[in-house]
Amino acid sequence: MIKFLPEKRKGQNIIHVVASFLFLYILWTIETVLPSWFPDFSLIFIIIAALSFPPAVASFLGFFLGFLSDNLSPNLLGRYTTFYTLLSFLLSYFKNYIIFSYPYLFLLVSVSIFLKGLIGGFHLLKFLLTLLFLIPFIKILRKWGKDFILIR
Amino acid sequence: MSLLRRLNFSLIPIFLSFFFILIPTGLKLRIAVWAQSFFFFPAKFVKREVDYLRDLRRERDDLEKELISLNRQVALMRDSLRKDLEGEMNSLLRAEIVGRDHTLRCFLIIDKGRRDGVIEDQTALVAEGLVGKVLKVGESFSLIETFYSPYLNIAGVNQRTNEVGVVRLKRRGLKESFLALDYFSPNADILVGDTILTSGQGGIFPKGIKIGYVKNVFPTRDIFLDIIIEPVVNVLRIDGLYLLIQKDKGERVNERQEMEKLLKELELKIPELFKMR
Repeated sequence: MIKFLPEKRKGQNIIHVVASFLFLYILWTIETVLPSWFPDFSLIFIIIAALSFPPAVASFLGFFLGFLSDNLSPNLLGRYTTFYTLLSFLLSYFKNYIIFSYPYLFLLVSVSIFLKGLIGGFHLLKFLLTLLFLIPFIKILRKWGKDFILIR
Repeated sequence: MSLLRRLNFSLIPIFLSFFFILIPTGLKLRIAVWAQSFFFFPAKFVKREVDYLRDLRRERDDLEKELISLNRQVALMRDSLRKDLEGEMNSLLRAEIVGRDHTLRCFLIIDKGRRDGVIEDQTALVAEGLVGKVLKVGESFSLIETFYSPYLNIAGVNQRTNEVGVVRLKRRGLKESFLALDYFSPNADILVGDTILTSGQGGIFPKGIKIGYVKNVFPTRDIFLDIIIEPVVNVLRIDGLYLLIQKDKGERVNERQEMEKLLKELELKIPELFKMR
């Protein structure tokens, strides 16, 4: 079982938040440059961040990612912003009611991709690759990003 | 109220996102233009650099191909110039290979024949070295016998020591065959890497055309060394060749045939000469 409980370390929380924003931006930049079938790591990250941070920070992170994604199709500005903000806020708010294990994460990511697909269209290969790389991505985050992203 | 107070910071992005949905399209576009110029800069920069590198790679490949082609042309021109300087009597005729036997590599068919001035026993070569000789001539096509042919013996000479031998195909067992330099005595001075050229003896191949390099020298109890040669020309990779046209080749061949006839007559007369003694 994975634990996403936030560690309260004084003086480090602001660094965690800034690092998460930067990492999210880098992830989004990479996904924008690479082909459309590239796994949706930013979605996985936003889910993990929502389970780690308090609702205020999580919703700002979701808003940031949604705003970035919306800029790819400016006339529909707001659809991804709303989706990601609500998703991260709700996950963060109800995180105490969620059992954090890989099967639940698979379910969570699948549902999130399905909801995202309702807004922006479905991409089967992207969906499959996202699920395929879910565990390795979380393991890498746990190994290299545990000091910043609050995963225990 | 207490819930609202608890969620005050969380509600800001939620309201903002709803606000984005509701604002008019013109304002959306204006916000997006500003955001794109700011947030898209790294992505655009990376994409531009990747495209640039891809273009550079394509350009490098094209230039490499061009360089190879130019090098080949230079080699051919140098070779042609050398031949011209060596003797004004010789000239080259370009011929394209239109058929070949891929398994034994012994024969090639070229698109030049009698009407182009091809005659039997003409030397076939490329910029790198010797290919073989013309075996049979048709009206428009000819058959080239390469150095891999078991019937072709080429008089070769070691460029370093001037020692003469015969280059021919040797068989070891049923399947293995290799190009060998024969008739070198065990105490001959030959080293791995020595260049083997045509010696000019035999009258078919002119002197100084590169055949190959010595790949291996095996000590033997026989009267001659086992010398394996690595040919400089890969017969399977060439798509065209040059025929060395010697203007007096016909006369020379006739003269040679006369001389050979005379030699045979003399050989036949040797027992009579012994009897005379």
